[in-house]
Amino acid sequence: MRKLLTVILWVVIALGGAAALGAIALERDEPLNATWLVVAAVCCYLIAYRFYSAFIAARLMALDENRATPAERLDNGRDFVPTNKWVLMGHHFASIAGPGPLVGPTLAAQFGYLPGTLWLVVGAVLGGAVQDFVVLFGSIRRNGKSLTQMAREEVSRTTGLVALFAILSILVILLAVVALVVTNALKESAWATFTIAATMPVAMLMGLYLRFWRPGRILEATALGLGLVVLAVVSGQWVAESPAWAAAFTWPAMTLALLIIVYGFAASALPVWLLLAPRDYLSTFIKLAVTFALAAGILFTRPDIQMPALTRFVDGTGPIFAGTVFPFCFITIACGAVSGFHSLISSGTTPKMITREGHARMIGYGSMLLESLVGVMAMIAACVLQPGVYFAINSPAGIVGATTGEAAATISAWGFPLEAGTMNELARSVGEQTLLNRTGGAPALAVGMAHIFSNTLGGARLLGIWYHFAIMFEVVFILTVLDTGTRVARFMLQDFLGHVWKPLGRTSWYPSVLATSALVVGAWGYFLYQGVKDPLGGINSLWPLFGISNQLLATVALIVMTTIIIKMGKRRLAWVTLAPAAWLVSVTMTASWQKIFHSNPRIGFLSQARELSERLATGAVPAEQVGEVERLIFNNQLDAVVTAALASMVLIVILAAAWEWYGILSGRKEAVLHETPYVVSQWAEAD
Amino acid sequence: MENDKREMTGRNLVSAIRHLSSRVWGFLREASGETAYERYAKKARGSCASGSPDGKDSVLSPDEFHRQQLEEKYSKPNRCC
Repeated sequence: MRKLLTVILWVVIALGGAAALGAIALERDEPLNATWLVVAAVCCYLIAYRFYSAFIAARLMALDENRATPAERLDNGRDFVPTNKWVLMGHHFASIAGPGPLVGPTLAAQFGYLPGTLWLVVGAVLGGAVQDFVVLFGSIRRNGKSLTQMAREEVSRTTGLVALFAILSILVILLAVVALVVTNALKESAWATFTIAATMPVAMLMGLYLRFWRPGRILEATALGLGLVVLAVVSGQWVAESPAWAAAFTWPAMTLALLIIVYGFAASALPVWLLLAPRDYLSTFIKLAVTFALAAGILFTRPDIQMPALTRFVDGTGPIFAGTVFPFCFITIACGAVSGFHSLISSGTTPKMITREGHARMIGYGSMLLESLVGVMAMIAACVLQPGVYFAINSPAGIVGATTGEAAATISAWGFPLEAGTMNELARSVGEQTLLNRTGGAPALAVGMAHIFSNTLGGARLLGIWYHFAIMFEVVFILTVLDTGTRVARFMLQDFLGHVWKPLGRTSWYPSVLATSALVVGAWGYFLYQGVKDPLGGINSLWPLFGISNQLLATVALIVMTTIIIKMGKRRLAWVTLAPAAWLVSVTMTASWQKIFHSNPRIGFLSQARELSERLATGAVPAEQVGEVERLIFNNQLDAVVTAALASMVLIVILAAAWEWYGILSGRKEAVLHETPYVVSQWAEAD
Repeated sequence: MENDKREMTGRNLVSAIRHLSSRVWGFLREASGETAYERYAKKARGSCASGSPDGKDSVLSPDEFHRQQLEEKYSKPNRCC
């Protein structure tokens, strides 16, 4: 009877998913209701989790509930700790879910809602969740070893070294691009800048509270911090309405960029308990709460999607970033579909805290599906906006013009009707001076979220509060990525420099701490500066670079895991990781090639540098702009070199792994696995 | 009889709510990391009692434990993009 009910349940889920996909495929004359996207995505996730992840767990990994995990064998109450699976899933999800699944889909919505949504679902089910799951499995079987350690042991020393450099490069690009998103979200906005500035003393107050007044009382301190942050959001309106205070907090992009650089340096060099850790507590709670609130808001309001399924910009002429739907949709959405960075989390803290091998399926595969759902919700929030409004917010002045009149004329000519008054009215209703040319995705997403939230609670009266609440939500955890990322990059650099001169490797020696923090901040700060100065908005060049680097890391992770699968004697099942790796190689290599060599100056770095050089040579550049144009030429050449270096690193990993596979499969080399020996779990008999 | 039943149901309800709230509170404390030191100290003292070579002095104070935990946590990738 139970079995019959289960079969009926899965048939209902399959039919529900098919019906939702059918509605999406056939709905063309009227706006599509967002509920169909959510139902289709959730049904796909459920089916993939129930059947595909179970197949991988049983046939490929042979997860064994009776095999003791590192958390059980090495339990020391500190880093190796058997943890409740729901608690650990919460930790893992909070670690993997950053701004990527929010910003990427928002930017990719320029192609229409369909390509991005399909990639989010299919990419996560067959690629991203698989990567997270298998890397977690590999690390559990190796005492919680990191991806670079696994690469070194299972493939070759070169692979481990290349993976280390790839991670460091990716961190630098990631930090620059998220800093640019923050800059664009806060520029010329007194309300948003005040709110975010207020979170710094709030975090420090929490740090002092936890250190001196109530040590270890994290929930109390977080509740206090959350209350103060909400107060900061509300009082930001008074700041924006006061001419004197508004002037004090209205800063141009370059000033904000410099302040963010100073913040990154301070967070890296200051004691971690004072600023970084309490901000992380705050952002984690806000992130989880707002994600659930957004899901509830979408289901409650069931908004209509205003964006068409496909826009004319699939041809590569998009205003937000240039490039055709293949490959650029697939690198613009990295987190939410496939994110290489997750492999660092799956081979970081999580494998050291997992109690039973069987939990890896829910934590590794399941958490990634949840992140993908967050991406789908971000896509919905961006697509419930009128397309004209969406393009006006996200397009740089260099493409649509710097006034609402120019932008309305340009965007209307593309076939997305927009009146200048609409943008002015929208800016007024959210308490901003302007929403035009606010590139980076965060403001557009905040407007979409504010619409959903205000339709759920408070109506148009609270639109301004909800908009700034959404901006606060996005920026607070982007800054968490920024400060933790800077610190991690500093540790990696110190680790490397320690081999050159030992004192440089000491993480408590202040001269080294300051020097390496400055080096890391200087590296991402340069790219941030370049993005702020870019007349095309910076996102056009930096976001694709970030997407390429993130997915190249995913390729490395999947290639390393394919090697392990082959060594396990499961070569017939190697397609599980090899297929997504092959797709990512084709996407990232095509994108890298186009970003370097494409003849369209908006896409190819070298052709843009060439075009600018020609303008300089023909004297078409006014004398006062010569210095700036020379810098732009250099920046484009630098971006081309960075892209080529990243692509080369991955080619090295692929060649090294292919050589290893050839050796094993041809019988010339013995397959040596570096798994820890089997130990029976103390809980084995309980089953 | 009727009153007794109602009183019993009321008591059961209160006890169920108490039980649930205590479980939710416990979950939140564990998820936030508040219980980390308690768990560590229990484990470390257990090791001392069973003659671990660490010796009793190796049990960290709450302050040392939290500082080390934070240093460790924020020295490797723990927040994704």
